[in-house]
Amino acid sequence: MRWLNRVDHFLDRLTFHISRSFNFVALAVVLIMILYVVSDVIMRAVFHMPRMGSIEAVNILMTVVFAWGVGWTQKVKGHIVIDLLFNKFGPGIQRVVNSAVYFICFVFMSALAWKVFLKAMEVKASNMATLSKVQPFGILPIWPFHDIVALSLAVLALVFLADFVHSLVHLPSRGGAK
Amino acid sequence: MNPILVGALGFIFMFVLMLFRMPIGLSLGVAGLLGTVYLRGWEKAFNLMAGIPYNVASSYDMSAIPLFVIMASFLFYAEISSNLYDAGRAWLGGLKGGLAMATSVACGLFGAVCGSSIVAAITIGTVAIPEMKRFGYNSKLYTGCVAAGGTVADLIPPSMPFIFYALLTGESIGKLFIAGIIPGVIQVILFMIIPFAMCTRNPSLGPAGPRTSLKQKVVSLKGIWPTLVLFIVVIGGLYAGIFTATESAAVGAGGALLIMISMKRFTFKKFGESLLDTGKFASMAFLILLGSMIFNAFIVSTRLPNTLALWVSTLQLPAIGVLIVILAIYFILGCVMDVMAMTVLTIPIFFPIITALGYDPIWFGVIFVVMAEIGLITPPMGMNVYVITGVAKDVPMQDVFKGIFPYVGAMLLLLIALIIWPDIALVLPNVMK
Repeated sequence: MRWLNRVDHFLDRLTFHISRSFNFVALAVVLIMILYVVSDVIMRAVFHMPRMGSIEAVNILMTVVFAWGVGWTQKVKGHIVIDLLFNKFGPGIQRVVNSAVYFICFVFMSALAWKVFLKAMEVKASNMATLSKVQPFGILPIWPFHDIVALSLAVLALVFLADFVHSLVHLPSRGGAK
Repeated sequence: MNPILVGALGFIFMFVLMLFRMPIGLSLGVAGLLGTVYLRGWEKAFNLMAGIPYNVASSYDMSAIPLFVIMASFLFYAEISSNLYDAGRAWLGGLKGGLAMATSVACGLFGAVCGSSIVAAITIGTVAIPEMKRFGYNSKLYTGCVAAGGTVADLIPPSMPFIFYALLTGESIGKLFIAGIIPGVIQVILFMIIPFAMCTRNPSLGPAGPRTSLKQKVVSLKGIWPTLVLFIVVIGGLYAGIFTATESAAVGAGGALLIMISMKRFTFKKFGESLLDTGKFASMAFLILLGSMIFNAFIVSTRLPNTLALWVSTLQLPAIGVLIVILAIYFILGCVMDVMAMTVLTIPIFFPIITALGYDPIWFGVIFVVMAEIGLITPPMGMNVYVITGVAKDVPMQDVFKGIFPYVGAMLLLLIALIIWPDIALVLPNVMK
């Protein structure tokens, strides 16, 4: 099973770097969003110059803030889980359950990411765009932001695949967990 | 198979996945997808699902979540908790049980700029517990008052449970925030009465600390003005209709960063930690809301909520009877479930029932948050109790749970008051712009 160990190691490193990079981008966008919204409030409340399309700009920025950190959050096991029953299992059963759960999550997320990619293509074909001009860019197409979400789900699927392979490597032998 | 039965089975399957330690968002999503596939077939189910992730990620209302989290995170790293606690101690520390009363006040003040009860409990607990230990306070009293005191942060705006409730019901975040103010203040007062009454009866539980002069009292207020100003700007702006919830959160985040810098507590390490905490919470919330939207689409297609609401309205049970049953369910769920999970699971089912019975949705939001608060301190899943045992390592968990009993009683009292006099929650939102 040496090859499985190598795959585990490779996937672990790959998902670490990809998900961390995505997370950094998401965190940078949080700061941009604070600056954007605060400046918008000041422009409107102090200078009586409301900015066009600010709500849509926030919506667009949010796709990065929310979605691009999901992979990293799974990498550091930050998503909420309920341990109540799981902790009562022995280590062997825990690993088997973990493998099954990670596999289901991987399949589900891959399917979801794929469908969102297809949706992005549909949106592109229909030329859907923001309803108003987003200053300073003007009217923006919506499809790249569907792709941004799809990409983040694909990264999450990859992290689940890495978790699945990792749990396989550490599965108990037929004699039970040590 | 009857769609309603499919809906019920979907719930059971989702609970099984959760118990097998699948992330909550994924449990909801997988169960919701499979249920929809069973009812509508693969093609329609996947087509329905494809638009949900973008809609959730690009929701304007949801943008308040990371911004309020980063505001709380900046203030946490700015260590304003010690200033808040010092002010409370200067004014109340000379009374019997005064340090525990000061803890409740500090929790209320910190809650006014932080939307997470767990963060409030850790932050204030780190400062208050060593002090109360030093003055010989009873361990059940000091751990109980911090664990329970932290929950006030969920009721006093800004509040994460209110945002989640608003996202799932379409109610106004601003109105929910404002509705939480008076009940939150009453809760703080009740939490001050408890240690005072206990220590008046038995002074050894919490002896009086050294008295402070009027000058010391006034000087102590200097440390709390940044928090008060930030609260007034953020919530006042929302109340006056100057800001949306997202804008008030962004202004709050900017203000919190300025406070951190002005107090000379800014470091790039702390700044980075704040951002990392925010990113983690935002992603966690995204996955849960994504899963809940997929699951809700399934549940709505089974017509389970409408059928339940219709069934309840035909019962001979009075509206208050139904409400009590719902509250009992919340009490039980709160014991075993996280607040976010409880929100996304129950609100889509109970909300139509509550509105069909003629209850005010904003008022029910407040009632729901009080129940969620109780869930945070009741065994076996009292998250605030867990975090406090991490701060007070020498106090056994069962002692902390014993210590919170009087506080749970006070919260039930608040709940009864809210049911008898709904205006406690509704008077402010009803006059809001």
